[in-house]
Amino acid sequence: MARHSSLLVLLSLGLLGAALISSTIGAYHINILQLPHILWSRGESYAILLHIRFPRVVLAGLVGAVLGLTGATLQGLFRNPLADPGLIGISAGAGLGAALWIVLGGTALSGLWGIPFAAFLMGGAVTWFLWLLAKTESTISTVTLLLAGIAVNSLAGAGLGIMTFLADDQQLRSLTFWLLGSLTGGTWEMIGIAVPFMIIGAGLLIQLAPSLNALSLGESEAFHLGVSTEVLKKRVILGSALAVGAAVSISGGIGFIGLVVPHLIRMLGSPDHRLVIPGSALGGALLLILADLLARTLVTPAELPVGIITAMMGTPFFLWLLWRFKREMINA
Amino acid sequence: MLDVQNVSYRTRNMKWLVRNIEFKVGESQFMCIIGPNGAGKSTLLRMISREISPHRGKISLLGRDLKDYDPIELAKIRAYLAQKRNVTFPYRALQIVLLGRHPYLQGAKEKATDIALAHQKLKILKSNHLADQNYLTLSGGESTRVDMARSLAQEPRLLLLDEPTNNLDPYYQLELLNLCKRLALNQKTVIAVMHDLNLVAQYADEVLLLSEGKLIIKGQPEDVFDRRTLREIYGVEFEIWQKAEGGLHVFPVAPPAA
Repeated sequence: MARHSSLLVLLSLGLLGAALISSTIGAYHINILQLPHILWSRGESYAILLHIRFPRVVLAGLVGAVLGLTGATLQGLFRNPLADPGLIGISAGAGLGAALWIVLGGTALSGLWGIPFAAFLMGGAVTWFLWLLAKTESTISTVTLLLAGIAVNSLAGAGLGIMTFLADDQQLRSLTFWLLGSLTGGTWEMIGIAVPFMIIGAGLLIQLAPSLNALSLGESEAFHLGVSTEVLKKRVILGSALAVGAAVSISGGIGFIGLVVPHLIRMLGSPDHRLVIPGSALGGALLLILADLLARTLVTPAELPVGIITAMMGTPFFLWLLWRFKREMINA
Repeated sequence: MLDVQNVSYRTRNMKWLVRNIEFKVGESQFMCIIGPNGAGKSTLLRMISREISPHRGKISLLGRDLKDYDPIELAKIRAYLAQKRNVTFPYRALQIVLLGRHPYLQGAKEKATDIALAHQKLKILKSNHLADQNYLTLSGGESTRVDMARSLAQEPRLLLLDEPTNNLDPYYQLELLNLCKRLALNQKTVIAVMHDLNLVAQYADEVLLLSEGKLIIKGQPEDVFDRRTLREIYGVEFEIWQKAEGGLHVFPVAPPAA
C-alpha cells in the first residue's frame, strides 16, 4: 500500500517536470531557470508561454489523463486487458463525425467549433447505439458490446475511407492531421469547451475503483460481493463517452495511451484499481505531454501528428510487454 | 434462516429449470444439494444467492424477502463460491482474499485488522504460503482454496458453495468439508451443490435430492440414500455401506462388462 502512494507521488512529480520542460522547449526557446522571472515581468516570453505553450501542455495533459483514465476503467469493466477507448466505438464515431464535417460540412459554423462539435456528437451517438444494441431486458452484455464495438469501428473506417475518397487536397490534409491525432487545437478557448465534459466524465469514473476490483473476479462474483453491476456498467459507459468524446473531439484519434498506460501501472505497482485508475490518469498525461513535445520539435518548423509518435512509441513497447509478460498478463 | 417458498425458474424459451421447490434451512446446518446434471441445482443455488430471481415463489432470508436486501447488505450475510472463476488481472492471492472485505470497506483502505483477517482465513484453508503468489499462476485446487478464503473473509452467516470439491485432491476435499462442518457448528449455514455422494453421505447434516427441476426428497443422508431411489434418479447402480461408527459410504458401481 505504501508502494502505491509512492508510485503516485513519483508520477505526479514526473508530470510536473514534464509540463515545465515541455513549456520551455520549442521554436522559441525559454530558459527554464528564468520561468519565475518571465512570469513576473510579463514580456514577450510571457505571451508565448501563456498563449501558446501553456494551453498546449495543459491540453496534452488533459487528453492524456482522460485516455489513460478511460483505458484503465474500460479494461476493468470489460475484464479484458486489451480494451481501449477506441474499442467501444467512441473514437471511431468521433473520427467519422469530424471527417464528415471537414469534407461535407459547410462553413455555417466556424471551423474551430464545427469539427469538435461534429466529432463529439457522432461519438456520443455511436456509444448510445452500441449501448442499445448490447442491452437486454435486465443486463448489458459486455461481449455484445465488444463485438459491436469492433463492427462499428470497421463501419466507421469504411465511412472514413469514403470521405478520404471524396476529399480535395486541402481537406485531405486537414483530415489526415486530425485523424492521426494532433494537439494543435491547444487554445484556452478549446480547453474551455472540452473541460466540463472531461470533468463530468472523469468524475463518474474515478470513484469506481473498488467496484472494478470486485468485478475482476467476474460479474456474478462482484454481485455477490455487494456491487450493483448494472449501475457500474452504466456509469462506465456514460463517463467514458463523455470524457473520451470531449478529448477526441479536440485532439483527434490518439491511440495507445489508453491501452499501454494502465498496463505500465499494473506492472510497476499492482492491478488494484485504486492505484491503476489515478495512476493511469497521471501516467497518460505525462506520456502525452512528452509525445507532444517530440511531435512539435522533431521536424521543426513543421509538426508531426502526435498520434504517429504515440503509435511509434506505443506499438513496440506494447509488443515487448506482451512478449515479456505473456503468461502473467493475460489469463489464457 | 432460509425459507424457500414454492420457487420456480424458467429460461427465456419457457423451459422450467426449477419447479415448485419448497424447503427451509435452519442455523447450524450443513446442507448438500445433489442430483444429476441439469437437475436445477446450480439454478436453485443462484436463486438463493439472489444472482437470479425466481419467476414464481419467494425466498426469505432471516425473515425478510430476499428482494428487499440491497447488494451490500446481502454481501455481509451470504457469500457464494462459484464453480468456475476467472480473474483477469495478476492480483496476488492475498489481494483476492481481501476483496472479500469489499462489503465492509466499500473502497476504504484496508486496515491492519482486515489484513490479519485475510491471513487468518488463508491459514484456515492451509494456504497461507500462497498469499504473495500471483493468482493467475495458481493451480485449480490452490485457487479454489484462495477463493474459499475470500468467501470466509466476507464473514457470512450463509455460505453457498457450487461444487467446491471439484478441483481439490482427497486431502483438501476432506479438509474443506470438515471446515463446512465446523462452520455449521458455529451457528453458520452452509449449502453446497455436490456430485460426490460418498462425501455428502459422510458430512452433510441434510441432503436435498433434485431431479428435472423438482425436489425428490429432503432428509438426513440415511433417509435419502437408498439404492432404489438413486438407481431411478441417476440411472446407475449404487453400493451403500453402513460405517461401523455410524454414517454411510455411497458410491456408484461400474456395470459388469458385456
